[in-house]
Amino acid sequence: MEPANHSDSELISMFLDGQAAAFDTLVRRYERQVFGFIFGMVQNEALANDLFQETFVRVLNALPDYRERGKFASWLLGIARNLALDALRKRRVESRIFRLENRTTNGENVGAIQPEIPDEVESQADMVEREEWLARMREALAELPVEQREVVYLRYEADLTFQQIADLTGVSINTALGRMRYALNSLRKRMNIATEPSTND
Amino acid sequence: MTDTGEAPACFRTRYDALRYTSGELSAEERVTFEAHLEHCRECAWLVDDERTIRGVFGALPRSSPSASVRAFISQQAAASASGRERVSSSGRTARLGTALVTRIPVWAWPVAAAAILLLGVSLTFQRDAPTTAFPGDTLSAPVALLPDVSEANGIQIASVAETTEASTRIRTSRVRATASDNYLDEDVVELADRVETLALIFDEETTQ
Repeated sequence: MEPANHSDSELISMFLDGQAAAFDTLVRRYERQVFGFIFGMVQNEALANDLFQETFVRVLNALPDYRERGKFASWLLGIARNLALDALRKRRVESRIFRLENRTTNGENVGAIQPEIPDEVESQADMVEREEWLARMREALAELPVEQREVVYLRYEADLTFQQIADLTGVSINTALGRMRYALNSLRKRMNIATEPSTND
Repeated sequence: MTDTGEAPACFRTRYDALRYTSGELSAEERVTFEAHLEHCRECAWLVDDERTIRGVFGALPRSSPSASVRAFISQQAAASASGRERVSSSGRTARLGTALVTRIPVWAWPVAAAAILLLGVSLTFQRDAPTTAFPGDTLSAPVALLPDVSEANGIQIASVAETTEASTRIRTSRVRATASDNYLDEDVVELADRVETLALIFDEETTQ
């Protein structure tokens, strides 16, 4: 069986038996989630690379003593989260958050967003508008309070449920839901998304 | 969600709406909530907002770890895996000392023991050896502490028995000397300990 078809537990056992390739498979399996989450938290690519590397080095060192008490993904993301929070505290990256050079507006109303992003047939104007939207989204995400930002990235990037997010961050599920609600509200305002009910009332 | 960011009045907006979007509601809860959505403005807004934000989030370009970081992690994993394999293949756990011992040739132990003994004793006696015999000791000269040596391929080799005996003699003379004029110091006792340790390791190896 190909390593990619093994479960996390099987890959860990294989690695502990001396098969280094099994660990590579684990890295590939989770690199998008882990890197995406770390990058979302610190908003700096070089720092995200450092923390990503440190996360997996710590996992390597801890695996011989790893006892499966829950999902490996949650444990892995917990390590990444601790490193990201430490980095935020130490380096104060929140005050030097990533900004795009071509940021455009302050309060410019570009209208309500369409849930479907324009597909491959885009006019140049559409592309510019899309880029502005995405740039504004990045800025809005970066300006969220850390505890709200981490819920957003754990939900959308790491694809965790709210219960898993609550377990990982050590809060109640209601707190996690509340943080997400406030984050969505901030993002909606920042993105000037029209709040209109889609159902008849 | 209200436009001011205040807590929503509807309890389903607080507890169910986002869990609905994340697929955390049971089938029964889901049916109930979808019926509720038909007439609850707050819940409908929140569900719409969540879908919209998720759509934009999903369209953001993704960064990925650099190739050098991936390579470094892979390298570390390979090093870690090979280290563990060597230890586990011996069938013993965390016996790094044993692994080290098995890589050193058996003949080297008595040579090392004799060399350390000779070096230590000679340094000790160069530093503060008396010109007279030990008070109250049957040994009449420092050389009496040394084991008998034999010539082999130009190297002086002492047997395990000889090094052990030498160690014992050093300890005995140290006790006597301490009682009389505190002649031999702690360095020599440490040396004797090391010789004994080497002899024990050698014995263990030869009996395996």
